[in-house]
Amino acid sequence: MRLGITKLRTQILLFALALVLITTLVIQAISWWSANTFNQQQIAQNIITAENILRQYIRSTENNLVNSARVLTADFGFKQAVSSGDKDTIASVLANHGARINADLMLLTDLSGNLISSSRSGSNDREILSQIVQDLLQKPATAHIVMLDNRIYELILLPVMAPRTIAYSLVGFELSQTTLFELKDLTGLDLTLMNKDIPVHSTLEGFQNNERFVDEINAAHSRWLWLDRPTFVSSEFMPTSSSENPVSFLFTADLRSIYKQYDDMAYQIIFIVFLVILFATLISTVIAHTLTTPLAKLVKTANQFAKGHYDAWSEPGQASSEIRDLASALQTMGQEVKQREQVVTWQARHDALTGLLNIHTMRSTLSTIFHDYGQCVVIAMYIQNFRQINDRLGPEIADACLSALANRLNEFETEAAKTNARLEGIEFLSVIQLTPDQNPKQIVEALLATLHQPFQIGNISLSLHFYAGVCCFPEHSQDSKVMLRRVRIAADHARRNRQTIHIYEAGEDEQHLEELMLIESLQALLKQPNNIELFLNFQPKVELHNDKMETVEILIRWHRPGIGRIAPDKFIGLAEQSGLIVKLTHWVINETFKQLRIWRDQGLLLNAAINVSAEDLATQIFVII
Amino acid sequence: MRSYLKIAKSTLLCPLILVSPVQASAVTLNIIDQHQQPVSNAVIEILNSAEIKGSPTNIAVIDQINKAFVPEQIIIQQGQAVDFPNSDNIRHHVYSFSEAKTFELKLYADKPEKEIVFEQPGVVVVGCNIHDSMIGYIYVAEHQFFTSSDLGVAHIAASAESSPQISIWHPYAANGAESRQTFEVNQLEKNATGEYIVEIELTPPPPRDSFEDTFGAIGHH
Repeated sequence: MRLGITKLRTQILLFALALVLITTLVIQAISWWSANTFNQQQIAQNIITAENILRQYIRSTENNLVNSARVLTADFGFKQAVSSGDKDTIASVLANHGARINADLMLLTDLSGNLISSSRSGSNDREILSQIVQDLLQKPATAHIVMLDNRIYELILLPVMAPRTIAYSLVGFELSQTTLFELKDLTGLDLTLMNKDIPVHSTLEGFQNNERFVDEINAAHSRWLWLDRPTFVSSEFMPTSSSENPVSFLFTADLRSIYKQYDDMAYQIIFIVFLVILFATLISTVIAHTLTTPLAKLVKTANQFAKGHYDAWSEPGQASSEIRDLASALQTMGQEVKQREQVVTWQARHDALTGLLNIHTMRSTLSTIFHDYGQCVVIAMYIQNFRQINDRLGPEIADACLSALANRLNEFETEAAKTNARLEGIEFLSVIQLTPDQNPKQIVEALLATLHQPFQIGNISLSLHFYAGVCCFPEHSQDSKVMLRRVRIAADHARRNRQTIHIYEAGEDEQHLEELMLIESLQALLKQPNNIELFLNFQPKVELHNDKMETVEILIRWHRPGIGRIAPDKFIGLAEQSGLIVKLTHWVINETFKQLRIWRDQGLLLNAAINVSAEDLATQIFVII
Repeated sequence: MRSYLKIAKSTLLCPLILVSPVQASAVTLNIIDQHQQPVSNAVIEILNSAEIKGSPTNIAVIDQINKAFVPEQIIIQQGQAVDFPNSDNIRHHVYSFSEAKTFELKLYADKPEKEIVFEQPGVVVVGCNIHDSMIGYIYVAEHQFFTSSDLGVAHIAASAESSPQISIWHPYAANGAESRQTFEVNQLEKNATGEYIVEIELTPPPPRDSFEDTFGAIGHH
């Protein structure tokens, strides 16, 4: 999972998706919040407006009632009828005058609130009526909304003055279901008329005339997804009413239409979100593709560079300018590394001064050269007089001399291919391919002849002389290592014997190897004081004039187990060549002293003569001894 | 005390207040309302005094000046006539629906055709049909002895043998303008100065819910 997320492409995709989701969620939340706030304010405002409208409505009907009732109660005939005390007359006058002003209820009570007559036959509850009259008396000429005989009336009370109050006339308009619907049209809200929390009339659908009505309204919820939202917002309006038997209005705003708007909007946004996510996925995939595909190619290129394939190059394809810059920089880097590597490689393979192949390269490539050339001649050359040049003319001239020699080696024209190398110091190697009719010796001589031509270094003309060892491939060896050793042995032979050219002869290599082996063995033996292979011979020297032997000449001998005697001139010569002679002389001196001591202890006093080498004489230690 | 009524003393029948020095002594009543305030213009009639015989010949007058009955309240004897002259330059329509006397003097100016005779004892509330603020009261006494209170004080004669039985009326009586209350004087409590306390419940009429005038405004004329 972690690996998956670290991928750039996944990251871009996740980023795009997160961006879309967060943005839409925030927008959704903000729009929901602001719409909700707005709607709540709107509903609250609607309710206030509705209450004002209702108040206005009650006031205006109240004015109607009061004005009508005043005219009615001021009517002389009405007063006269009421004063008559005749029930039938009073009832008829109530019906008659009530009809004049379209009143739904006309009541006449005495001053104690006892009913005298009613325009509506019914079992009017006297107690309730009396209470209503008492309430109305507190606020005469103000309309009360009251419940009477299971009907709701907007009721006013006016005294009947004849001329002092002789009775109260109650005039009312009924608030029926129809009235509520008219009010709903005016206020835009549903209305319920309630008596002590029990609804009497309502404009709400499915309205149930029971006690739990208000609770049900408040508890009503409409669900959407996991949201549980109240279906209604309600507000109770308390008009002037009976204190004991109050009537109130309940305004109810149905929120479901608003919820539907929300929900539709939410669905639309969800749909749009999905579209945007789809779009974002596509776009980010394309972006990722233009980014990651070129990057993958660049990685591949870099890996190729790491393996040394600097020309391995794959175009990043459709990519941004940054990627292209990166690719271009990588390409440049590859080229520069390649060039530097070429320089380093060249320096590793060639001699810095002369530009010829160095000995390591020669060792590793010689077999290839042999394979390529088939028949060829291998020439190893020492410069005879280089030390003199170096000593007399200085190292700069000497170096220039070596460069000039290298140039001449390169310039030497042959019929076939050739390879030149500087082996060590003043030792050079040339491998020249032979055509079938060519004589190796002639070629070598031609080469040396060329090399013997004077070199012009600055304004100095110098002649170089050489010792050259020659081997032929495949005659002298088919193995490159052996060939290299043999040609150097041949050159060494030429140098030792002061020959200009020495062609390798069979056995020289074995002799050389034997000598090397002897040197190694001697070196080992000299480190062992009591070895049994080296021993001394004592050759007596007799004085001729008295025939006395007073001196012995000390001679060293070497007897190798399994081989036999090794000639002193051979191993002493090798010791001199290999620089072991000082140690060997030392050994001889030590052994001589031991022997002399033994002899002296036996009463034999002898002089000892030891042969020393010229090199011994140059040694400080020897001089001290 | 608030003076709701202006009573023209001259029209009261002073000689009717008779106190016999031989067989009776004077009793003083202190008439107060429910707020313990002295009440003026309450009419006290002694019910166990002799009834009025015959018809009094003198005619009482209630004039109409500036859309008001002047005086607003009079006491007459049973059988006495009252004249309702109109001193205003507008017409009035005087009527009463009271039990004691129902009558109607349709729109007239100056003087009505004839005076009204009040044969039945009781209280007659008089109004004007076209001026709702006009209200007058006629107390028609059945018995010979009656008086009215002034600042809560009324004097009546009391015989040694029998306690006076009295009725008290006031236009603002809580039970209605035509209602009266009766008391046995002996059973009344006395105050520190030996006056009998008569407490009556009054309700000043609410401001009249008329087109122009109010009841309360009348008191400020």
